[in-house]
Amino acid sequence: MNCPGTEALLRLLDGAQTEERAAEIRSHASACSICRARLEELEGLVERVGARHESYRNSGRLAAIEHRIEDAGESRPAGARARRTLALGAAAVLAMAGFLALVLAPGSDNGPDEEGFQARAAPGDAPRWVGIRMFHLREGRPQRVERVIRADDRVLFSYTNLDPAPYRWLSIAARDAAGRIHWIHPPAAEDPRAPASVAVKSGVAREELPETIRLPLAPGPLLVAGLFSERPLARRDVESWLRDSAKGEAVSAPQDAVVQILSLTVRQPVTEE
Amino acid sequence: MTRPRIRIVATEVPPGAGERSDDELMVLVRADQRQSFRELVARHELTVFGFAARYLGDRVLAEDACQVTFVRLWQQRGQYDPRGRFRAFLLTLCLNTCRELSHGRRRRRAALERLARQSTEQPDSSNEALLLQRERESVVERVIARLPRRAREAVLLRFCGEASYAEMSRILGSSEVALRSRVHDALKRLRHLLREAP
Repeated sequence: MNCPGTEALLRLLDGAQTEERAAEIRSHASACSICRARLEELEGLVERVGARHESYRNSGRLAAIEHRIEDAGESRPAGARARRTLALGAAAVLAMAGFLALVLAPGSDNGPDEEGFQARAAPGDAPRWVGIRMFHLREGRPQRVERVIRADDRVLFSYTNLDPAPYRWLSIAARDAAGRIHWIHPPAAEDPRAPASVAVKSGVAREELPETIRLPLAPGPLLVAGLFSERPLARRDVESWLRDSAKGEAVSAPQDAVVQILSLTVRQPVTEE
Repeated sequence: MTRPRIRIVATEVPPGAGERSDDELMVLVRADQRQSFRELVARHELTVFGFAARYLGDRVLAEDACQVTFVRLWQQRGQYDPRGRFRAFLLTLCLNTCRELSHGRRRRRAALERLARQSTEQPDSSNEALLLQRERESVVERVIARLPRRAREAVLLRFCGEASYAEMSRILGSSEVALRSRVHDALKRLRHLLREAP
């Protein structure tokens, strides 16, 4: 037979030739070095177009998908992460149970979306992949903070750490209207050399931090910052950054941390008459 | 400084789940069985990501497209009719997502993220074989992304999505004969482009 054209070879690879014609072409190609090379080239091309490379796998993808489903207001596939056993007192256990119920319950995410957070630039930041969320207790149940909290509120936090190269440390601190700095995670310490970051898990879409906290906040604007970093931060660096950022200056985050800011208003506590 | 790699997230698969067909899993997903959804993601993520990477020519955008595709699969689970057409259903979601992402603000935003990452990430130069493999893959992705849209969609559905011409006809709304011709033309052009590629 004559050498088959490219279209005939493509129809062979595409399964469009009859069995008889396909056998004929393959028989010819086994004896004709030119056609064999052409056929092998096209086979290689088809293989490259359809190849599923292992590099296409991403171990954080499933958690990211579930996180986005949850953010879109759909129930989240449950059990995607290990739940921590928390050794807390009875009251704290009740509060945390409410918190977990809020975080994990289908359709219970009633807080503001990520627009509530303002990303501060740091090289290579990816705000969609990391972040903190703040909750306060209402009638014993945690609710996502909606820009306003009361000065006597007990608050809780969760974080997301899904960056493709995830961060290992997190600091959460706040600056109130009186200019006071409040350490939240880790809590305040007398020793200025005490750690200023807590270790965080990687590849988690939503991980709660196991404490409820009441802070002596001054009424007025409140800035809560979550700083994700590769190394533990120094307290003085975080405090200095919080003070400088209050002046409206563009300040680099300490050690190129990725910073997420929640701007809130603190109101006086409700007093019963 | 080299940053730590992401932790591998274990995926629990109940006994027998791996043997279920896509349709059977989708029936369970429609009943909000979340483990079945995870099984579908694990089963098809390489196909969806590969399709998106070649359609968009950009792995950061492709990751976004892959995630959005599966989010939409979950959101539209109630619309799926289990009659053996899951692949066409998933590929349609993926195709529509890629079309959306290839335009507009999200593309620019993702491109910026990619640039930011490139400025901070250092490739592991000790593994030359892996570097060469990645480069070879990315050449194919970039070359396919240069094809005209209709040719690109046809060739990707056929060989990346492994769709039959009947399935492609339903997805793209063209005749099987026209699509076969489009696929073969795309392959000829790809061969030419790859020969020219550095």
